[in-house]
Amino acid sequence: MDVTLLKSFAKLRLTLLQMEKEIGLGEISAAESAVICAAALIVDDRGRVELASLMSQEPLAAMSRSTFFRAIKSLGERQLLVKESDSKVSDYILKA
Amino acid sequence: MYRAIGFEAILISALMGAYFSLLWISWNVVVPVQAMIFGEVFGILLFLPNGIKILAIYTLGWRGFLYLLPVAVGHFMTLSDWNSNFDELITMAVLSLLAPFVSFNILRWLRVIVPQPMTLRLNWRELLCVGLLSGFLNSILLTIGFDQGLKEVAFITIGDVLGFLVVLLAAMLAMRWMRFARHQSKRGWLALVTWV
Repeated sequence: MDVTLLKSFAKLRLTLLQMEKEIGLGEISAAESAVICAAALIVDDRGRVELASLMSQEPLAAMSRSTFFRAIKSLGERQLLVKESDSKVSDYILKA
Repeated sequence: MYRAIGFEAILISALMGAYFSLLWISWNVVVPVQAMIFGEVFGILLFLPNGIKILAIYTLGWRGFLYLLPVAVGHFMTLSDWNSNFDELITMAVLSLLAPFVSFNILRWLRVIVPQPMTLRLNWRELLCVGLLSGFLNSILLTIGFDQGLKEVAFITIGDVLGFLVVLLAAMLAMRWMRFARHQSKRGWLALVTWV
């Protein structure tokens, strides 16, 4: 395949990937998926999730702290698990 | 070199095949359904080949235009019962294929779209704007060429834009599926087919 064609396909691929992300079909990593699942198990009626109890959930217990917090940060950026603004403790709101 | 020619041949066949298949669906599925709802109307309310046209020209530029020219001319030839001669039909096929180029340049001139300079890559929303204007220009061309009215302009524009939207979404989902499939079978034949 010549370079021009390769560039052409790269252009299309990037445009479609961007579209996928912007319409909310972006992929989530295995760690993020595990955090969402664990959060879904302990979420209360108001959609609140306590960080301490989230960390103690079985699927996340084996996860390293850095991976866990990276996943939390990434989910926060995507507005799926957002930090509760008026909370003194670290509580999150599950919006997934 | 032979590999490059082989790839080019596969690409042309794939583009023509996709155009023909979607044209077949538009004529044999969409047209009968719309005839039941709206009666006999000039134009197709979901003209899927328009999506292939815009994506091919956006991706491949002039190459996309040349690859699709035979099928576009062939398609317009089949419309010959609409009281037009062949020269006019060929001219209209060429102009219809040029609509995405013209739209792209008009929107760039109006600063509605600002493609990234090195690759001329567009944001997908900008690409939608190109599809919208291209559908409108195409409908004007067809209604003038086939002596139709304002209702047909609206009908063809909607058909072209909807067709483009559906193909754009399908392309996005197909690429997503190929990515997952490649992930599932790293050493299988899919890894070879889906390397892009």
